[in-house]
Amino acid sequence: MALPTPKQRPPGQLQQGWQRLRRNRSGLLGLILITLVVVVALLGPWLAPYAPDDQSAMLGFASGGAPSWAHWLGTDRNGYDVLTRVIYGAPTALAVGLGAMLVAALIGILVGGIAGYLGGVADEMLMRLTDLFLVIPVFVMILAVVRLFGIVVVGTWLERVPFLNLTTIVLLLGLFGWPPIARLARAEFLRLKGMDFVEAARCIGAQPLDILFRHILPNALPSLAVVIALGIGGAILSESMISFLGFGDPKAVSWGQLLYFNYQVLKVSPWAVLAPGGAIFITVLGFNLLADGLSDAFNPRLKQ
Amino acid sequence: MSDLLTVDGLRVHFFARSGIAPVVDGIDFAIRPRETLGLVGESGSGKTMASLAVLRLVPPPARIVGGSMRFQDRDLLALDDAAMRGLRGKSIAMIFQNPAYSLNPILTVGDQLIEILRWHEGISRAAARDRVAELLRLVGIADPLHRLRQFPHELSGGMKQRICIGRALLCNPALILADEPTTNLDVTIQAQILDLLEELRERLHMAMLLVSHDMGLVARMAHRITVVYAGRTCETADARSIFHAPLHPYTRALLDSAPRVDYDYEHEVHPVLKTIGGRIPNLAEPPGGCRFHPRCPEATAECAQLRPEPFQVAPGHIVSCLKRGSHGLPT
Amino acid sequence: MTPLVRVEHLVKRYPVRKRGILGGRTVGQIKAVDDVSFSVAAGEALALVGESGCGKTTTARSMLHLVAATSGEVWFDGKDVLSVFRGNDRAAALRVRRGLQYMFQDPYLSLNPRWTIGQTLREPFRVHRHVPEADWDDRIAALLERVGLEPAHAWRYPHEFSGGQRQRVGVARALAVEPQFLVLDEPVSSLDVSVRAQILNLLVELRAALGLTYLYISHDLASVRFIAHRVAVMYLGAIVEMAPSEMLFRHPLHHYTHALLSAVPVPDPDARQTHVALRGEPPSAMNIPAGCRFHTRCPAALPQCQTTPPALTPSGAGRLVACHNPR
Repeated sequence: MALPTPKQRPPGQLQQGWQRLRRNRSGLLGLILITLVVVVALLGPWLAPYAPDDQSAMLGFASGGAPSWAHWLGTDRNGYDVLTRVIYGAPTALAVGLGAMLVAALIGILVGGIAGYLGGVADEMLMRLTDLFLVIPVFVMILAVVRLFGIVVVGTWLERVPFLNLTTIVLLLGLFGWPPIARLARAEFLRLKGMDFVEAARCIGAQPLDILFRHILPNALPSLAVVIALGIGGAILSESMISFLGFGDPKAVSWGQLLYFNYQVLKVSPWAVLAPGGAIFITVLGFNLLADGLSDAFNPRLKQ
Repeated sequence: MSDLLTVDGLRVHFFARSGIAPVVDGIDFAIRPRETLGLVGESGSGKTMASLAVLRLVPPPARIVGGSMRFQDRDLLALDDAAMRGLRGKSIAMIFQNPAYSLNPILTVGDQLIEILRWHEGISRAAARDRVAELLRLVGIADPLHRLRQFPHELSGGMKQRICIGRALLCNPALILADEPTTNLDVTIQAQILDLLEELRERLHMAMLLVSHDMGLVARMAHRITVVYAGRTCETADARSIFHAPLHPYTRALLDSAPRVDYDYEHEVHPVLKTIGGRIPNLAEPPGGCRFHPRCPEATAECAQLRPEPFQVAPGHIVSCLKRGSHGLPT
Repeated sequence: MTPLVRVEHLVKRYPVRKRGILGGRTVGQIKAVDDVSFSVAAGEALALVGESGCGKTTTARSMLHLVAATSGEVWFDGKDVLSVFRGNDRAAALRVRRGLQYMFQDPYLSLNPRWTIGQTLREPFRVHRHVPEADWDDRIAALLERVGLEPAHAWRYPHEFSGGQRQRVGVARALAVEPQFLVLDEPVSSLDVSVRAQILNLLVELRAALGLTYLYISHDLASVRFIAHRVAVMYLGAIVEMAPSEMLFRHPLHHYTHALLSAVPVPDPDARQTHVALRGEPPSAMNIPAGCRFHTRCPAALPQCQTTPPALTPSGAGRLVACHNPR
């Protein structure tokens, strides 16, 4: 006699969390905003009215023009259609956010998890390493490396690698963005390591790696997801700032870069600045709200 | 002698997003001056909520929605906030379950107690400190002046609870509400604390509401006992009647199902405790009629339809059970 | 009768360290378990009782190497299991794990909240593979029924169950590997009164039906009297008295046992509830008193109690007591 399957599978933890998230208004709003950005990023080439490098507006002396039927968000000082540039900036932003946090999460969970689980000397050493990385001024560091890289790369084969600059920025954001994740991972692993169900697994005879991946990590993920969601928003913001200062990738279309090109003509063509600024705002807000919602969804305040 | 505190038909509802849970749906009890009343029940019985309701400290999203409470002939539900604040700590004081959580960890013991005394009586700091030291001596703490300068985490569990008891007694209240005051303490320390509570109650002429799930505790300390289940009162009587002649099936089941330290089980080949089948209901969806009927060995069809009203079987002995003479109201 | 499990001179000390920038230095020691020895016969239920800090839980955890003992041996099936656990032979360690299992106290923390009950019960089978995989589902269904649950419950998550039901799952998990010896760590302390009886009955019934041997840890003496054949009383890390259950409860020899028993409130308002008042507070485990560890609070202390620690000596009919002046 096998285990009878019930007629309707009861909801699991993930589904329960999803149901709670649905009821949380800010979380839902965040999810909607993010979905909007993702859709725009994916469907960009079909949605955009012009090619991203189309500077034809300049030819007709229509650069810096106000929003019109031909250009829904106007044109910027270089003759680009603002709407097109904003649309093409979406995949860049998402690539940066998700890419940076992927790197940061991998390093952070590894470092923090090992520190929390092993304790002792390993814990001390890894935490001092984390402190070191926290102390480094990330922003300045990234600017310096990008500039240095830019100089070093000139004339070598690396120059022809597409989006090298952007990739460097993403990697650096990840390489310097892991400490908060490591801290949280350590706290979670430490907390979960002592829980009875982990002890029970040890008692059954499960091996440490088994316990780490099947018991501890899945229970640590909800809290980590919150920090990661916040980190995505932070990474997007950082990249915008880097591009705004002129250190961005000239071959990539990014919102910060749009700001960099057009902030000087803010009074004359405000739409060229407001549009990318608004895009940044919506995206980062979306991730922050999602983080809020996730936090509530996985840690319900009201217990029945 | 008129009652010090009368609670009648108290109803407290818990307003959650998913619905309203009637966590207290008709709890009655009365305490006479200088008497200890034991309020006995398991988790979900509403006993803690009822004691918080007396002080109008029911935490949101729960709210008192019905019933009446009279203390020293004043209607507690009609008092305004300021009057209630004047009452709390002064005429009615509370001792909580976990002394570690009910003391402020960042203030010294002395600071916390002195603050309370000065708030209620407006005396000088020096005078307050002397009173507090005297009180600590009263609760059996040797070297009180030294303890006053210590922080809660530096003290043992038993000592923290003594300080919480002292805190409750600061302004000579007429009534003490003690919510599971010894649950987190070791058995030998518990015995000392119970001795202390009993002695102080006698000496200072106070009444006490002792909320507990431990029948042994209540047998030792209470003059009268009220048994509650799933938010409603089942039975009220003096201690001897409850233990030697319980009428309500739940009271009986509660007494029968607990292992006893004074009973010789070795004479039984295969010892078995008499259990109550089923489990405590989810208060968000309580059973209709009598709330105990799904688990009651004597339940009949009408128990699921009618809600039993309190019925006085003998002087001072009240039961809410259709099988014991209660009149039933359709729900 | 040869014992099933024999604990010999078990010691567990925790160093107390002051923190520095890198590591720290040791300023003292907590002797949580201070040279404890006892044995448990097959089919018997031995209870370890005592108040908080007495070392009963640490003893039990050390026996199964959930906590690394400082020194001592635990003999089971002809081997010292502690050295097996510390060694590299995984197959041998797994064999031992099948023989000795543990049931945890807290129903809310002892099950992985993200796993279904079925997954939790499948894990022992997956680790030990003592049953062919095709039979796992059947075994899990049988286990669930054995502990009073339904096979369909395997699809549900812990949060959908009450405390009592979760404890039943805990029992089922421990029984999945078909152990001979089960440590029950305060299995009913976190449960409601009306549910405790159900679980206690289940434990007694399982012991009889499956021929299990129990080590029952508790501070609740009433449940101990119900379930245990023999009782060992611990104080500050050592056993102070051990006796068959009824003898201990009817006539305790050690003054601490007597104080402990007299302090338990009895559910009878007519019973005389006078208890032996112990002087002072329990000493810190860092500073165990010299001589008899109980002498600072003992109402019957003699001068020699301050200097000479009493050994656990036989005192007739299977009783042991560590006291210079037993009752």
